[in-house]
This record gives sequence, C-alpha cells and structure tokens, in this order.
Amino acid sequence: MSSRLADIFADFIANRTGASDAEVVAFSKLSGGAIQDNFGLTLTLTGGTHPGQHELVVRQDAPSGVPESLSRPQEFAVLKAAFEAGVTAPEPLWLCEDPSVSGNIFYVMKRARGTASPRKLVKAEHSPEARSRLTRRFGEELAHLHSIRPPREDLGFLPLPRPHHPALSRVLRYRRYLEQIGEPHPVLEWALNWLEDNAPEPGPTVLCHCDFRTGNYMMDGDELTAVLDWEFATWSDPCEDLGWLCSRSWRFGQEQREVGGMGDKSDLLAGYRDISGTEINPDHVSYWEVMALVRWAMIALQQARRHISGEQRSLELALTGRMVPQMELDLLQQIRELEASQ
Amino acid sequence: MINQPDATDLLQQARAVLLDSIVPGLEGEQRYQALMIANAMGIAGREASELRDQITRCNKALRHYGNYDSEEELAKAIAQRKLDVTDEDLQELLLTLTRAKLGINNPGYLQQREGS
Repeated sequence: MSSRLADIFADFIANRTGASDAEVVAFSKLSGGAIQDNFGLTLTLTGGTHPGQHELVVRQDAPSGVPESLSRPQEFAVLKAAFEAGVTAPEPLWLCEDPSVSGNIFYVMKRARGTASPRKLVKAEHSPEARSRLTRRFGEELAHLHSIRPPREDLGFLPLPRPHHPALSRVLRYRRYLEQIGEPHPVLEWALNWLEDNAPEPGPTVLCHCDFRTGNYMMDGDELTAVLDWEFATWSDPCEDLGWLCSRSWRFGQEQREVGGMGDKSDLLAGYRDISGTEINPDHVSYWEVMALVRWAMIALQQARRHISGEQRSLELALTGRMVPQMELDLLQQIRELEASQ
Repeated sequence: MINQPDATDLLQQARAVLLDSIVPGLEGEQRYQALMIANAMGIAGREASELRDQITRCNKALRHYGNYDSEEELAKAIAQRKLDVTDEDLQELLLTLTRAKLGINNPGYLQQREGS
C-alpha cells in the first residue's frame, strides 16, 4: 500500500487540526466498495485540536460511480445530518474538496469497531434477548434518521420525489430504465404493474438511507457500532428503508428472520415506534419489500450494463447481471403470497 | 463436427480442478475471485448443455399462453397493460421463464426457494 497516499492524508489532517505532527501508525485499503475506495488510517496527532491517536477511515471516489449515488461532499453532508440527528453513523470529520491534494475528492470519518460481513453477522450466536434488542435498535436508528425532513438547506442537493409520491415516482423511473436498456424483463414489468396498482398512500417525506441492510452496518459482539454506506440516501417514504432492510435478498440464508436475517419485524417496528411515535402498517412494509426486490434487480441490471458496455469490465459486475432471475423468482413468490393473504 | 470432449465437459473438469486443487490454498480476495471464476464456469457449462432445451420449453409456454413469439412480445404486452396482473396463467408463464433462467444461473437458489 502506497505510504505516499497515507502521508498525503496525514498532512491534510495535520493541516485541518493544526497539529504540529501527524505520524502514520497503520494504513491499508479496506475491502467492500465497488464505487468508493475506503482506506483504514491510524494516526497519532501532536498538538492542535485533536491530539492523540485516532482510528480513521478515508473514503474517496473509485474510478467509476453509478449515476444514482451521491458525490463525496454530498455524502459528507448527509452523514453529518444523520450523525447530528442521533443515528449511529461514523462521525464525519474533515472533507477535502480539492482533487489536487490526493488525486480525488475525499473525506475522513471515525472508524467503527467490529465487522460488517453479512455471513458472519447472521451466523453469530446471540441470545433471543440480544437479537430482539438489536432488531429494535434498527428501528430506533431509522426513526432517528427519519426525523430529518425537507426543506433542509444543507441537503438542498437531494431531489424530492416527482410525482410527490415516492412509490409511484420509483415505478416511473424503473419503467423508463427498462425501456432504455431494451432488454425484455416481463417479470419486472409485471411487478411494476403490481406496484402501481397496490401503492399505499405515501407516508411523510423523510431522509432515507436507501441501502440500510445486513452488510452495511457494523457490529462488535452484539452491539451495533455504525450504519455505513450512505451514498444512496435521498428523500423518500419511511417504509422504503424498512422494506429494504426486510427484503428477502438480505437474509443470507436465515429466511425465518425477516429483518436482515437477524430478527423479527415486530421488534423492528416497536423500536421505530418508541423513537418516532409512529405506528407503521406492516402491509406497507411488505409493499416496499416488493419494491426493494425490483430496485435490487434494477441495480443488478445497471451493474451488468457497465460490464457489457465496456465501461468497466468486471467479473463481479457480470455475475451480478446473472442474479436478476433470483429477484424475479422472489418477486413472483412474494406477490403471490401477498395476493393470497388479501 | 465432432470435437470431443465437448465444451460442457471441459468447463466441468476445469471447474473441478479449480475448486478441488486451487481454491483450498487461497485466502481473502484471491479466494473470492477464484470462487467467482468457478461460478462463471458453472453458469457457462450449464448454458452450453441446457440452453437449447430451455429455449424450446420457454417458446412452447409463450405460444401456449397467448401465441407470443418471444419474451420481448410478452414484456411489451405487460408494459402496455394489456394483461391482467392477477391472471394465474400469466403468473405460471412468468414462473416457467424464470425457472428456465435460474436453472442455468443458479439451480441451488431455485431448489432452496421452491423447496421451502
């Protein structure tokens, strides 16, 4: 790992904090992140506003991003808003908007303890009480996040849903996207029709993480230490986040634990209610679980396109394209179950 | 043209060598990449041997349901809202198409979901 890059980050941080010296103790590239490069940086600062040793993460753009995702400065602003609203997000510290410093725009945040590996997390032994507490905590975290509502000057770059109905605005966007790629996906078209016909009245428009799922939070033992990966955050319906977290795609073999393979929906919604005072209708969460499957299929199609078009040749992106029928089967099964239960 | 062993056999054997002899010695990112390669070889192998049968099966189901010549025609009819979302025969057709694709891409997933 280039120590030159570590020195560049260290100098920048020394400069921002007024430290007389910044000694690099450890530096490594962290795994996970097709869109961003994440580096772990341990640093000892002498003097200035933050003296002492710090465990940090530096996040900067990788060569290619996806159009739906936020820029680093936007992500920094979202992270700041979420952290201030009481979400267990990594504390955002410094943003560098001058690409001549390291070659890319980057920001620095505190590093959380633990692991985000979904397989490890769903397989970990937890007592039923710990599992229930954790699942309630997911609800609490989302309720804190959803207390952030438009208009917000610091988040003015986030588009409001058009039409002013997050579900129908997603349906429109995904239909347009299917038309653009010109590849037949009858199951996705069918699911979009179902989503159009069954859209519930929208809830309040709130700041949604839009990728809060097992794999995107860190845990140390049975404690949640950080909600990660904020690049898809936008204004939407509260149930978008709840449905995404409960989607069949993120249970990693623990199908009976509908909240990310970790716990029960009743605990999730109880935690949400404790903080927000809002009683969420579980049927609306189920609706957004269907939306989550369609959205994940759309993302997979987009990733495959990046490979097929030659924009970014990658085996991982190519194989993601071949996952689309998995979401299609889950859509067929889940919509039929919902229809049968009505 | 007779050219033996065929593509399916070659891919199957190459994949077995990769998984049995190479993957156990790998860790971290390299192991992850080798497993992705094995996955891609598995898909390509199944596609080489099963694609023709699966296409025949799908085309038969498309014609049987509504005399559609292709998946494109069906997708268009659904997008134009010419078909009822709740029609069970339509759902069966969509399941047939999806099973055919999953049989090639990830038969384990199909088995796990349909078995449960």
